Amino acid sequence: MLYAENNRISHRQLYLQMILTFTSPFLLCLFGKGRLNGIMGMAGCFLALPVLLFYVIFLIRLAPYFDNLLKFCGRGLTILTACFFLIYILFTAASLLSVVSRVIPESLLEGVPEIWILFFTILVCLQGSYRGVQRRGRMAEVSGRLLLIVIILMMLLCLGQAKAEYFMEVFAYQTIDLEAFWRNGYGVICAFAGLSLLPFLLGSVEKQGSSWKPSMSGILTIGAILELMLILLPAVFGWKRLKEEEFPILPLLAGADLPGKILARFDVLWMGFVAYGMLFSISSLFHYGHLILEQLFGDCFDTAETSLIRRRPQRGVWTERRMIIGQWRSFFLGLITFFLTQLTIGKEGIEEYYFPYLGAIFVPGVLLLQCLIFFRSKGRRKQKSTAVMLSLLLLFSGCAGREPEMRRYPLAMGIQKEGDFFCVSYGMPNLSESTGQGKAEEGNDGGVLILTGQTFSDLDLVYQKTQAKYLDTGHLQIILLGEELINSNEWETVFSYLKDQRMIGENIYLFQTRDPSAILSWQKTSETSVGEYLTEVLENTNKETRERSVTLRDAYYSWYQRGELPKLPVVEQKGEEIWIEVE
Amino acid sequence: MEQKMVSRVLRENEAYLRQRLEHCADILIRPMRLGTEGKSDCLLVYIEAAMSNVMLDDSALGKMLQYYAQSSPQQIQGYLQDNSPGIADVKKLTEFEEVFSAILSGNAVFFVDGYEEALKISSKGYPAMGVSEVESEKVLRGSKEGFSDSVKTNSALVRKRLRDTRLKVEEKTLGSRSHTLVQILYMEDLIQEDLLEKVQEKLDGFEIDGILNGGMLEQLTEEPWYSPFPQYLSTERPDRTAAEILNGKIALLCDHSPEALLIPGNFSSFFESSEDWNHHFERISFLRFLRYVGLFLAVFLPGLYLAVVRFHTQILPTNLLLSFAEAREGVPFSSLMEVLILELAFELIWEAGVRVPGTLGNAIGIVGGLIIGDAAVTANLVSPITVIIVALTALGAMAVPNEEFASAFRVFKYLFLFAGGFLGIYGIVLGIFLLLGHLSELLSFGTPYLLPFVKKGKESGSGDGILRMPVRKRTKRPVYANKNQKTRLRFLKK
Repeated sequence: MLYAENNRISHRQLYLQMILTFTSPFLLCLFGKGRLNGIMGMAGCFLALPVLLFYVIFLIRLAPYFDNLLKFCGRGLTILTACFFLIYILFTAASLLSVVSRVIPESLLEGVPEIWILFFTILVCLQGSYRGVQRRGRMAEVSGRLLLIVIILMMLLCLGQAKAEYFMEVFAYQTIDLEAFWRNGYGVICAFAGLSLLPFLLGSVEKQGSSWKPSMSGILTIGAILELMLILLPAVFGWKRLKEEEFPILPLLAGADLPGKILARFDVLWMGFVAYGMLFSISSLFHYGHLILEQLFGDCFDTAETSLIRRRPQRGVWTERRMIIGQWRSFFLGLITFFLTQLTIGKEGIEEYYFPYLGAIFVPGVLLLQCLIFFRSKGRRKQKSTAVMLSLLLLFSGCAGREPEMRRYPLAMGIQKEGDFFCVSYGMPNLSESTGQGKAEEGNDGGVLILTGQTFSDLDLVYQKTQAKYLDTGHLQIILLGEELINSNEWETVFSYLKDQRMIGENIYLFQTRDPSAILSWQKTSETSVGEYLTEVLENTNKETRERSVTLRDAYYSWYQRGELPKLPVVEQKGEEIWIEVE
Repeated sequence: MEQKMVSRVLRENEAYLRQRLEHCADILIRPMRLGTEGKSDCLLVYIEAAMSNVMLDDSALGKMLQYYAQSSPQQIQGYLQDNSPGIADVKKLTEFEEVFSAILSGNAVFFVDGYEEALKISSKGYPAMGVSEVESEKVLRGSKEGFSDSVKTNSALVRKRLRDTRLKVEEKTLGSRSHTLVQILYMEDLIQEDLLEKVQEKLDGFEIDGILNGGMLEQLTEEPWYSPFPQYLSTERPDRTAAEILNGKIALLCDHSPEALLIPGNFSSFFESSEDWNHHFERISFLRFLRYVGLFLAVFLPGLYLAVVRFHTQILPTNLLLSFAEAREGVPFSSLMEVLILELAFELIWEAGVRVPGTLGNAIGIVGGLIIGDAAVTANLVSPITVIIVALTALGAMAVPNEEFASAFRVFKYLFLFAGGFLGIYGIVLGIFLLLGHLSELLSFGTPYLLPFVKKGKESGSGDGILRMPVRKRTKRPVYANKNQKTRLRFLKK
């Protein structure tokens, strides 16, 4: 027999598939607002892990029956099981898709409509999902380790931003609560509900008898990642901010720096890896959807002998007819999932109503069915084209991409309150001077842009109406807050606005000054902007001053935690020089 | 169809030959009278260019004809019956289809009146280029010999390097009109038998009028047929072929094709150069790593550039970003169109350079690359950064030793270019997911294409990873070799 002909996957491939399938959805959806946090989260996770390990043993004992459900369970139970799992798969896929289609436009692709993200994601995830399990195994083997390494690297980089006192707040604010403990434990078990699909896969694993080893290793690895994240997240964000963040994993690296500063920001790359994991999870669900449909209808819709339940087709044999049927199934799976993502009950979308249903209906239901199968069977133990479409559709989706020369890159931002108005000034770099290329172009001559408006929406509107270029705040280096703004307590409005601006990193420095626009107009040399100058001054000064500097992340922490603004370094212009006073 | 047999009556044979070979001016039918007093009628049929007159005088055939000229008809009959011409490569043919096949293969066929068999007398065959230096896989250290157009010469070049009776050479004739000779070379005890069966099954699995080179053979036997990735590793070098046969691969040699097709082809083998095992491992490991980097650049760089400048500008260090923005000032096209136009222009230069003769090809490279590129930047048609991106992409593709493999990725470059340009990093992630999915389902004759990155067990010591291991540590054969012959190197204790 040739190397790939037994259509089975190795233990390592099973382990990496589990890592790829579970990690990204967990990182994205398990933490933050109203979810798993703090010591009760950790305790819940510890409670769930042994339960899940026992569950894996149960699933392994159950696996032989899933190879031929009809034989062991009879027609009725088979149909019930298949339909139940199919519904679970479709709803889970739809909820994950909904998360992807919400998160990607918000934090990665500003301006691209959600519907297009949804469409392309479904299309890509369905592609080849009807193929054998070896394909998924190989994909996992090539990319699973990479994702694991990236997660570990990400954690290491976050360690640099973590603060012990932030983490200690977890103990200060959270009390021992038995109900929360059970709720969190059950929440983790529900999150691992995808494990219930394991019996469908185990028939295709080499050395099935010992497949508990990779399965348990997978659960323990994911459990370890969850526990570490539960420590890391409050240590980076602080307790109160963490409780308010919907997807805290996304801004986790917004304030981190790479050694050597090869890249200014790399949270985009991190989001790319998370997105890859999400794609793998969704396509895994589609893959199991195919397996279940194959259990239900066999591989021939087109013959008169079609019965509702047919024997599972021979493994590893991929005829052209099976491919065509697979493509049709893909179409229906995609269509139903798309429909589910758009389905609202009352005013709630799938994300809102799915997770309660998961805990209340799916998980108990799956357990019940699996127990039924187990006890019932005990006595019987002995017995392309998409590529072209994709390219064409891409043309309709990419209206949001903007050319680099059609953007303005403020390096410093000043915000002041003047009466009822906000006055925002942007310090722009002089492109010709700072790059040395000397292409004279209107609008690139640096200077300060000052906008005034009652709200920040007004300011955005004023900018859009008066300026030809897109405002790219991704390279802001400092923010100067006016003293009047600080005294008027309107700085909270400013922070709410900044929080929504995903482009703005959290490692930028905050200062206070009497007149921000005057400071921004200052120029030491023709090449240097105030933003660069102040950043350099802070970063090259003594350790004490550096430690007293305030980044946006520190300010958010103080805001969420204490509802107050931390003491900011003061910037003053004295004669020809700018002074930074740190108390 | 009933086979027409060679007749005892020469005139009948001649009439049939002339009927079948009508309007075949290149095939000569030369009647002659041999024997004392010229009483034995004979007929010699051959392709003019494949068997020169000079050869007729000097060769064994010429000498045989001279001998027959001095013998009586009875003696000639006797010699023929006893197979006494004494010529090494003479074969008796009884059917006309065999006769035509022998003639069209470049041999002479000799008929004698009163004798019911024809004699195939081998000659040097069709004119062909001799063994010459390889053009596309040059090495600094190692043999300079390359395959020629003749399949027999090619198998001899491999045999010269593997002088073992376990090296088997099986022959097949493919193409109902071309009758192309295909040889299957393998080391009997090193290959998996299933692999050989699969290869034979594939070769027998189609009927075609003509196979004119190895490329056609490759495309007819690949599965899935629509994949742009080559499933055979092709090489023009007999030493590489011999090395891969020792790895447990099967080599297909196709007549008129100066290359060997090696099966199974796997991902890492396309990154190996012929001289990888001739140098120290540190240097080659570094070069292999560079080739992987080259492939990454060749596929992803334009797409990543577009994703970053159009969507994720925050990634870049501020000065670099400002430099990009300033460089693009005044360029009339969008960055996507700019990269696309320049990439296509480069493909044109590449294609033109390949089609024209050597020196002129270099000139085209200089004119296209330097003069047009420089002029385009000066005229503000493209920005200098785009020229750098396209140049790096091209260099990356060129660093991959197997051109066909690199070309497949060059096609995917455009997918990533659009994906990055329209959907940013997310588009790139979607593209990677699709590409990886495709590569994962790809098999080369039952062996996963992504080997050695998807080994099932803990196989090690075969030296086929990203880094090249030292020769003395390469003790095992790759996973696709026969399980009973895994050991390649063993040190003897003294």
